[in-house]
Amino acid sequence: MKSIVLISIFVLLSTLSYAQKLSGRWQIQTSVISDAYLGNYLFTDSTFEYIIDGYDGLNPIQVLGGTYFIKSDTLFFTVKYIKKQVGGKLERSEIYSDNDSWALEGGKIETEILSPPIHAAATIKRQNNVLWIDERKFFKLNTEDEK
Amino acid sequence: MDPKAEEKPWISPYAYCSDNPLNRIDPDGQSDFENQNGEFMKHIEDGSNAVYQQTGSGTSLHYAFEYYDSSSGGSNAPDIKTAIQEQQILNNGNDALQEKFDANGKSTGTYCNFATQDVMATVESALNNSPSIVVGGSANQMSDNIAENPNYTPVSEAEAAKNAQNGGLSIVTYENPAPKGHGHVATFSVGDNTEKGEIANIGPKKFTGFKSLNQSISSDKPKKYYVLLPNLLPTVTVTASK
Repeated sequence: MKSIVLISIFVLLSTLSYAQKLSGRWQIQTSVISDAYLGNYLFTDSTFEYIIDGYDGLNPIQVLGGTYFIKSDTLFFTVKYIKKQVGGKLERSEIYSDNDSWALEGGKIETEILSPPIHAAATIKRQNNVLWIDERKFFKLNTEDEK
Repeated sequence: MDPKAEEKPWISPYAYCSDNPLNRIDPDGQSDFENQNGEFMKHIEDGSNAVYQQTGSGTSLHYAFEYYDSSSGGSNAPDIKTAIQEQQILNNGNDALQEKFDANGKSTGTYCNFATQDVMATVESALNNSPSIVVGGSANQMSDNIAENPNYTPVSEAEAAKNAQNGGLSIVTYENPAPKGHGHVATFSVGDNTEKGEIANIGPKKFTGFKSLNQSISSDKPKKYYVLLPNLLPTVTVTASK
């Protein structure tokens, strides 16, 4: 009985530790912070936001967020809200270069609560500061570099 | 015979490396040269004896002040205008700062942040690495970090332009409030570069080079302007013994 309790505590701590280590910003493709972030996850111990690529000026959905947990090699998302650009002006941009430099600029950002929330799962694998989510590579950013 | 002998009449046109062959090699007799370690060095005839070394690599390639060459006959004080001007030219030709696309035609990034940091690093080295004036981060973060750095002061557009005309370091930023947050940062052109365009801009291909302010950040976007505090800059007294 005592060993079962110890094993359970160990498993629980391992899970918590894994989750905590996800805390921070993880950027797809590269650890280099160019003048804007590429697509990236911002994790806390239990919540996440996915922020779209800063070079995509046309996508009105800019953020999706909610809670997550990890079990074994699976990352379970519960998406509770999106942040969406409403209004704005279509223009040829001197900053956004994807979508042939077309961009929706201005307008305002509105948070839309998803009801019911959306559940999804992805495979996850981690090696030091590299994370594979559904086999896509994300790099942990050094927050010291951000300042 | 030195092809630039007229610029230094006080030095014999037949003297190799200004009579300083221990520190210099001079393959073509120009002001740019390699030192004995093969490092690229630059000295501009601007009245200052300052010699800079090209250092760093990739997006961090910049000039760093190395030493004063008294054989140049100028002043042992750096000319910040020249330092900024040459770094802006170096940025413009630095392939690592140019936008590239992946196989799907998607941008792999633009680097106005690094280009501005490279100019800051060059100026910082010319100021004897004190105070710390290089701020890091993405363009949006740099906009915040410059505002928090006591060595910069916010100014109007006209004041920023005037400071650059006087050879000082002037910066323009656009902080994009959208969550995806793609902002912009650039330095005002100085010296000879001002004739090519008001802003030394690094960004998407079409907008990279010496551009107008509105080509760097369009007129309808809110901009902030900063200058490196003039009292940080050395007083340059040219005492060339020509």
